Amino acid sequence: MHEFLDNYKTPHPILKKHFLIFFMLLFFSILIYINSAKAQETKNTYPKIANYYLHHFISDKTAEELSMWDVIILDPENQINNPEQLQKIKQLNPNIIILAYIQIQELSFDENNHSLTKLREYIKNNIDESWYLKDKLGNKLSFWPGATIINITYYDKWINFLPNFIKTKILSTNLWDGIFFDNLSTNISWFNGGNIDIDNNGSIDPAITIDSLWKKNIKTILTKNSANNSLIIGNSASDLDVAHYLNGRMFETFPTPWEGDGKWEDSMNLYLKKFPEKNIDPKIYIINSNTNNSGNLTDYKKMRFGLTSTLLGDGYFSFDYGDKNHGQTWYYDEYKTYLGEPISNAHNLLDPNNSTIKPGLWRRDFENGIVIVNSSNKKQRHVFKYEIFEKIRGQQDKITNNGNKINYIDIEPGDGIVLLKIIKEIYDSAYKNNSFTKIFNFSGIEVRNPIFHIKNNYKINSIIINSDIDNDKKRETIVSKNGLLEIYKFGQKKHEFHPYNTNFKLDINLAIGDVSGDGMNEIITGAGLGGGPHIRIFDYQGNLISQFFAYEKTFRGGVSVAIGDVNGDGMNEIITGAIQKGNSEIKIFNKDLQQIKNFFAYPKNNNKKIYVSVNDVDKDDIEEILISTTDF
Amino acid sequence: MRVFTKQFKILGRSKKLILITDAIFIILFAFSLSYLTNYHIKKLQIKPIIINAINQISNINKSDAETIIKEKIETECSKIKLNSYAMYYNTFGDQIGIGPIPPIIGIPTNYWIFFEIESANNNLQNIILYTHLGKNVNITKNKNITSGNFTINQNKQITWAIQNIERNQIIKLVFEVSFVPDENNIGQIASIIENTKIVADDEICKKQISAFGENLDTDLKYDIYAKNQGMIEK
Repeated sequence: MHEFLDNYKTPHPILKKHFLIFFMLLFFSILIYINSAKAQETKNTYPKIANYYLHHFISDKTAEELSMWDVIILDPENQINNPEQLQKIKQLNPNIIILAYIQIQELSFDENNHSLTKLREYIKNNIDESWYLKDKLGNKLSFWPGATIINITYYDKWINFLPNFIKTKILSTNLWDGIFFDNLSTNISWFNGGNIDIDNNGSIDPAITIDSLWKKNIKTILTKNSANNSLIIGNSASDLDVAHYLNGRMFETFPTPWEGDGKWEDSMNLYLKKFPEKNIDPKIYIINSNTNNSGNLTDYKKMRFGLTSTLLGDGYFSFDYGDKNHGQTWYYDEYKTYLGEPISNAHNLLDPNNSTIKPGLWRRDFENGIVIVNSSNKKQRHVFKYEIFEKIRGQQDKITNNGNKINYIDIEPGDGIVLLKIIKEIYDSAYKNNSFTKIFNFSGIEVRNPIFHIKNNYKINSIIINSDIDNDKKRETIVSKNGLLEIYKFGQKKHEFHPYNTNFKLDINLAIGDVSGDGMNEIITGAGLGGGPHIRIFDYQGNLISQFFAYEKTFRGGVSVAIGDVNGDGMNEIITGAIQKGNSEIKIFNKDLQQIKNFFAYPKNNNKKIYVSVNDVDKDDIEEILISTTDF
Repeated sequence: MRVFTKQFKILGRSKKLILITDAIFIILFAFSLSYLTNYHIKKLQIKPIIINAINQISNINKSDAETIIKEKIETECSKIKLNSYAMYYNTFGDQIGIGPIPPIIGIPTNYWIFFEIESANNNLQNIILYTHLGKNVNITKNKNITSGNFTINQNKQITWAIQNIERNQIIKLVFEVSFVPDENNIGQIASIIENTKIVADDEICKKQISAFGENLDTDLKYDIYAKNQGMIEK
């Protein structure tokens, strides 16, 4: 070491330069490591949902349910009571963010019921009575029943204890992605009418003294926690002065009553503008709406208002019972929609050129839909001039979410709505031009409003599919005409072949996809109306691979085919529709060509000609089954 | 004919008169019925009556009588069946229209219009359907035409021209219209399609035939899910 220092004191110029470069590289490497470790990826598709779940115990069922959320705040007692559930949640949803609930300036401990609160018991046993905040008479103070306020200014005790506790007892388990500080307030003089004895000398201290010390120590706690390289979210963290320590905050009981005048625009201003300017990345905001402790989980209007307000920004939405019981797994129809990424900022339809956050009719656009929220005090009607949207097909509020296509909307004050863009085009699945298409899931339930396929630049009733059949990442066009399949690439005919014999002149229905799971696409054909139910599978050059009969061999109503993963098992299935059998029967076959499911697209004894295709219309990575007819 | 004349001459005057009157009555009755019933009923019911009547009168050859009837019936002109309806939901309750029902002023409501043409008994040629869009109604780009040529002029008259329709063949025209009511429509049921007429050349009778179609309005009488909601609201 001495030699090193001696050399450095009388340095060789080149050697000194090398050391300098080395230490600079080391410094920046450490910096990059710190930032990358903390820069946890957050979901960028919407809606984003959070669950504020504070029970001390999680069952198997609850763990499965909680895994459906994007951010969850859990009581850290769960790391002792059932750590396997936290691991299970992570396994089910590796991208979920799990935050440990910590009271930054309180301790809740029930002597009579401490078997599930070992961490709290540890804290209680390791702090002194003198650490609690008292009034001038020495009475301990409490914001909340069962929770005693800690005097965070008392001799630096708590500001050393708490960060160390978090680091060694919570984060060291590697079960948590960060900390959620409840009641993160930088002042305390407002409490108890100002009757606070901050230095335990039996007299009330001036508010300015109390709050100055309080804020200083809050900052110290946050600074020390920042060194842990984990996420930090605060609740009630209204002070922008500490925002740069935090990744974000929660707005509890939205619109949060203690923000400004408790109005919508007060919370939204902080959420959309003020805090994003100060908080550090990745930013995580949680809008917590609740039933005000009524338990009315069917207050869909309230839920929608909170959700759609959240969707005006990039935060996570939470809806639960209320501040007396955060701990439900209520899951709503809107949560299942896939809006995709945002493509606009929020704007006020009533005052489009004014970005001031104020009561109005607000809209934000996403890849697959829009949200509209009415924060004014009267009912609003908005007409979509050149747009058509589709309401969600909900199972809960079926009046609001009736699945209808609309070109206008009426919204009550304090309500909002999620609307989907209508489906305009289908790729990688054949369709009949000028057809009317219904959309089903694997269970045969209609999931979207039917659509029209009307392409005026193609012949009526032609069968067309645009798909990459040779795996070169460019789509070919396959046209079925008079028993012949023609394959075009960049407008040039590349191949043609007869899937059935050369005398077969009827329509051929087709699909493109990887049936066998070997990574190569195949061409699947079905004979058109008048033909038998013979399904054949070819490679992209027209060589026959396999074949089977989807319906009785004597059936001559023709069969339509599609291929896709309609049950989410990671393998493609073949879907067939009897074109004209009188019952619109749909069958689903696995890669071994065995039937695994069937259902009927229309009531039995109908004479509709139907055609099947598939498409993942709701972007949940599971294909829906589309049933088209030209007879609508 | 000679036998008939000979036997007729033998009859007394009064009997001749009675027979002639009977024959004329029967024939007149038969042909007047042909204007009230369709062609097939005429074939089935009148033909044997006529044959029987003529046989009674004259005992002429039965097959000759049949030939006379057949030639007469087969030169009758066809009937055109024209069904037209406006829909917001299809017969299964699927939403095919867009916009408010009942319609609201200033907001478009889109309906689908269906025309179905069928020739009752003969092949038809040069079929042309004319119809007009109602006030505040315009056509959109969505249509489904199984055959023929579809045009619309600046007076909102639609013309659908089809070269030929075979006997018992049904062809369809389906298109979407958009209706935007104004203040003058409040409280009323508005017309969507009016003055529909179809003309065609009958291949057999060599005449032009025609038929009129029903006017369609916002009350959608054929739409079981949306009917009786046609009165425009503010």
